[in-house]
Amino acid sequence: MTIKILIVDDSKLARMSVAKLLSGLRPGWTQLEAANVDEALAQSGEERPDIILLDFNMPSQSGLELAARLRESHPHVPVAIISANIQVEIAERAAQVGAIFLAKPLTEAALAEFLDAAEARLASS
Amino acid sequence: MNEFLEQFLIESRELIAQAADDLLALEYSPKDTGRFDSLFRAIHTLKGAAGIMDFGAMSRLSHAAEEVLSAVQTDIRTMTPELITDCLACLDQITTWLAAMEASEALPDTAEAEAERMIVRLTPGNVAADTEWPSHVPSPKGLQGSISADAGTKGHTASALAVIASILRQADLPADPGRAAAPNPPGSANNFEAPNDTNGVARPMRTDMARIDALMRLSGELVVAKNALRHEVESAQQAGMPKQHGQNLARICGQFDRLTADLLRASMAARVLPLRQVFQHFPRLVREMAAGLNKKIRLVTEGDTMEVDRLIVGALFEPVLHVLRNAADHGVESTEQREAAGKPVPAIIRLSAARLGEEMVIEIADDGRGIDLAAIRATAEARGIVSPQALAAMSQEELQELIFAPGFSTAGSVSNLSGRGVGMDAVRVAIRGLGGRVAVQSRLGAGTIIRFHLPFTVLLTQVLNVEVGGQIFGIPLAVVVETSRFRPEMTAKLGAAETIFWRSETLLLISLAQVLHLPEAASKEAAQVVIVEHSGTFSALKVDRLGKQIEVMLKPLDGLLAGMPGVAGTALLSDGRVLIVLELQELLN
Repeated sequence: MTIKILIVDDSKLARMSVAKLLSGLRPGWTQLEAANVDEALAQSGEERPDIILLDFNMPSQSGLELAARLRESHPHVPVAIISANIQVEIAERAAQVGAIFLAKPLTEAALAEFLDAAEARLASS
Repeated sequence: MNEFLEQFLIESRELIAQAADDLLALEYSPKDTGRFDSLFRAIHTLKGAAGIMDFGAMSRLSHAAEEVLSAVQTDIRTMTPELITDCLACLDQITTWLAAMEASEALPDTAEAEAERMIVRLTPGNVAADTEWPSHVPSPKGLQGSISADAGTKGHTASALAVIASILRQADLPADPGRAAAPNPPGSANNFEAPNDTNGVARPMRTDMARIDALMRLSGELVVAKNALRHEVESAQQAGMPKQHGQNLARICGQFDRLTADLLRASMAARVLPLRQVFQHFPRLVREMAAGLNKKIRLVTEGDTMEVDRLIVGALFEPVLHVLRNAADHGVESTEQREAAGKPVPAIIRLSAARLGEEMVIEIADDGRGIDLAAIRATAEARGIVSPQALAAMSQEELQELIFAPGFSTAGSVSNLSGRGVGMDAVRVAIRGLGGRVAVQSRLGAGTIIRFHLPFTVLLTQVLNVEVGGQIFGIPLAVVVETSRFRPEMTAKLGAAETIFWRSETLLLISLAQVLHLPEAASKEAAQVVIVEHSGTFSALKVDRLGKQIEVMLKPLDGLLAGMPGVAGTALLSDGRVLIVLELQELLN
């Protein structure tokens, strides 16, 4: 069954950029997009993505809060928080809610590493 | 242009507009955390976008701006007006780079050096150089070239020019500037044409506009065809078509009517823009003006979510700018004068838009010194614009209206800012060209309000056809209250004039033929009376014959005839004739 990955970011440019990387690394996967918290929650409920990538810095709710909610409602789904603020506290807080921290701008290598680990987790769960 | 760059430009420009808006708001509400967060996020996202596109200089500059904001957040630095000016200058610098990127898909070579200069400027302890407002606003075409070299280095001048240049670029004025043309005042945006990028590909916006225009034009032609069909069906019915067919055709015509109206409305909706598109630039401009005049002025905007035909939005920039310049330059007093008079500082200019019935009203209200009628009288007399006898007979309102007279200006000295005050004349012509009118209200010592009354669209209108002196004219149905057959018993004489008694009022019976300088009909038997309303007053018009009520696409007059009083525009009739639609307010005044 094809893996579904949800990209959450209020910037369309950022979503396009991640989508492009994804298409290169995992061309067979289904890509889903959400531009805000509400859309993200709706998509996770309806489409049941297998992996979620979300932006740390979003208007109404911070990426961390969203990550926490998603981890709670879908505990088997690997979540990555992407942020341009490469501060230790953020990485730690991400880990606390069970999410992986990825630095912005997202590099192919960093994304590949995350996807490999996520896939492994999905296979074993 | 690749899709990433396109999206990057769109998003970056939105982020810059948001950041500028937040900065200006924070100047007067420094404790507004919502605004601050919004500003921070905008700059942060801008940095992210630059990172995605690998535009190093822009990343670095955004990062520097972000650090400044962090410092303000943690109270290491304070958000002073100077710091706000510096942050705005950063945004201007990035705006300039965006324009260069749009043209060549890369940051200019000078970007690194420019970023460095700007970062130094943001560092605490460095003071921005201050220069005067330019002695004239150069033509938009000239601006394009001179901006990039200067931006970011010379304080107010450069930042003001950069703002104007970016506004003009983004205002994306319609391809047919003749539509809303006033005789172009100096520095007019009407000469503006969006630059094509170097491979000759037009900006994406232009293609959209062209498509929408095509859609509108086709919709309009469909309205004409629909009217022709209806006309033909009615003729056939009169010629004795079988009843069933007649009924079916009538029903189908009804469907056609609804569908064309919907189509026209839908394509019109594609043509509307929120007023915000043009309003959002003004707070910044007023800030720059105020700095140049050494006054403290704040512009507050309201009602900018209102959506209006694109043509009107684009055409509003110049007139509103003129009025704001006048308000800042002549209306608002100096800080000392205001303090002496117990008036608040900063002065507030309010730019608002509201719907009033079938009209849109745009208001520019200042709390400045108001129009000095004595000064107006003196100037009018000195310039020979009105004779002393006529002046003496003028009411307050009539005197105020003199500000619209060509060549009128009571400005003691010709300031660099608003030139000779010829603005109001050009403003009136421009607003008329859009099918609107300008009104002024003022109180000495308290302030002045300039109002633009405008139609929402320049398009679909219901008109009542009337025949006058052998010609057909249209009267907008919106102003028609009642029609009735003319009977001599209805009237009474008042000197040389005729009056008519209607709903317990006595109205002057105006012969439309006379007003339009056309021959009166020989026989008065078929004459009709049309009662119209304008600005709360009723008038009775005598016409030779009443025609049908039809729906037309009203095209405002352009070119040489633009601004001709008494005419709202023209419409193409189903039989190919051109219908002149009257603007009664002006005609009867």
